[in-house]
Amino acid sequence: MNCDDRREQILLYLTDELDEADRDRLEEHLQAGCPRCLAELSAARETIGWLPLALSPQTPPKSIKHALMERLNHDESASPVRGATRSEPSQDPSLAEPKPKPEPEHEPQATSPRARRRRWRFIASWLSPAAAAVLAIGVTYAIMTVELRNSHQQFTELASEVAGLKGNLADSDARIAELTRTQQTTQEVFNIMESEEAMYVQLEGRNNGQSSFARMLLDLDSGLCYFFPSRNTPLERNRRYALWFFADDNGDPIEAAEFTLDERGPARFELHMPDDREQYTGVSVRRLPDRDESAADSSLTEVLFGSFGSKL
Amino acid sequence: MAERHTNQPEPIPPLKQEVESAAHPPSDASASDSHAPRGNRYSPSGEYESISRENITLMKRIRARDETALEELYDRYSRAVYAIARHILWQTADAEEVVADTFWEVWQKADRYDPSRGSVVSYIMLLARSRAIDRSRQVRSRNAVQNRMQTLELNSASTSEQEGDQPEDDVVLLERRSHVRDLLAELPPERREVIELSFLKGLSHQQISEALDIPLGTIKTRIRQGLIQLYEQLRIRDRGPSL
Repeated sequence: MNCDDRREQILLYLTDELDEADRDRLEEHLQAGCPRCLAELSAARETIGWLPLALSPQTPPKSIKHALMERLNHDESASPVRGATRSEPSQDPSLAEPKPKPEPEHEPQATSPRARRRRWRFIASWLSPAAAAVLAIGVTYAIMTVELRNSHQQFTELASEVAGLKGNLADSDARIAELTRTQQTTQEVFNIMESEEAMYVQLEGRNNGQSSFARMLLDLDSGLCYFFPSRNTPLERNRRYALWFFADDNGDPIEAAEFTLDERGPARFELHMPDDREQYTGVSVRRLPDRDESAADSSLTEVLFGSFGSKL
Repeated sequence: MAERHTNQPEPIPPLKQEVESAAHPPSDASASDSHAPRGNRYSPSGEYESISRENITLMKRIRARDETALEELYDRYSRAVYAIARHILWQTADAEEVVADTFWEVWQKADRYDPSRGSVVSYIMLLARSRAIDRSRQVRSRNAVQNRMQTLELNSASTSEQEGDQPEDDVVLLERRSHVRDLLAELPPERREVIELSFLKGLSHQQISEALDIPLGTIKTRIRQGLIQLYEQLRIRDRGPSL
């Protein structure tokens, strides 16, 4: 079955007239992000949505609107302003007042020296001589405690210094790894550029109302592709995207790759190069659905689009 | 399983791009995606574009739980929703419930509307149609089907209101209405009949086949040809379905 045949299926699908097996197959195809069929789905859906406007409008009774607005008034989620007065104060840590830093347990000035002296005097006045001897031991103990406390503080400072150094070393490791990686990438990119079969494609899209673009460098021979998104890219990290080649003269598009954007630097992936690559004239990048999304969702919207300028 | 798409009519994915961005859509951002990827991208006229932006902004406000935005959307489109509900269901009370259910669903699932999938109007109308078909399945009988076929009076004065007296309908909606009617009128009668029965009366292909006593395959072909003709015309004549 080709995409021409699927055209009819899409209409049946939207009118809920497609049998289960065909529907599953079609959904699978849509889920893969075929740009042509998703475009058909979208156009057909829009047309069907418009048809009812041919009917003469009829005004529903006012009571319907009143009941609806009443229902809204009882909706917990309505109007965040009202909701906030009903709900508990925000527990969002970023909104909470910063709490005062807790005092360290061994803080010497927890009691002022003067107060401490007063307390000693008060205790001494009713102690027996034997008890006073015990008290002397107590004083020695107190001095030791202070010394230990100081050592503890020094140890803590030292530990923190060591941790800092270790952290720096780890940073260096990461930095070295990053540089190595950049160097390898750069080398590979240069290799492609020097190849006879190198191709460079500029893709366009929209993000947040602004135009966005991406560049694609590929080696037609090996299929190795480097994908460089612009800073304002519509592509999100940790999402899967499908890259399709499409043909001009109503030929079926073909899925060439699936990829995820790399955290650092360009995405690198291998394209499945079709045998009859001459018929393809451009690329379309679409987001693939998340696990909880239905295949029919054309969340699989085209995010980037580019033309080869000439055929492959 | 065939019930799935009518019971859960239009699975709307979460917004993947901020609605805000779509509130200022590029000329090729929303419905024209449907015409991608072969460069057949049109620029909607200013008026269409401005209504489209307004609608998307309303959806954005609804997402932010602003009741007045839903009210505004209701004022704009409840009459069209009621019309399709009345056509699919011939019981007034059922149609009224469909109106309420449709807008309630718009409210509850506002975050599932994705502007890149199509216009707000189209979204609401598809939702209304599905809700009405769901309900009609609950009350359907063979007689009901017959009755509904007899009451199909698309342009008849008996079911029309005088549109000139309807200030709530913006000029774009009025224009679109006459446009869609023209397109329907241009269809060959046998295609037009099945398109209306399917999309405006909510009958299944099987029901249409039985009611008209025409083989099912022929019905499917006519619907397909009619719909393709319609959307090609919409695409060509039009600034595009971008309201």
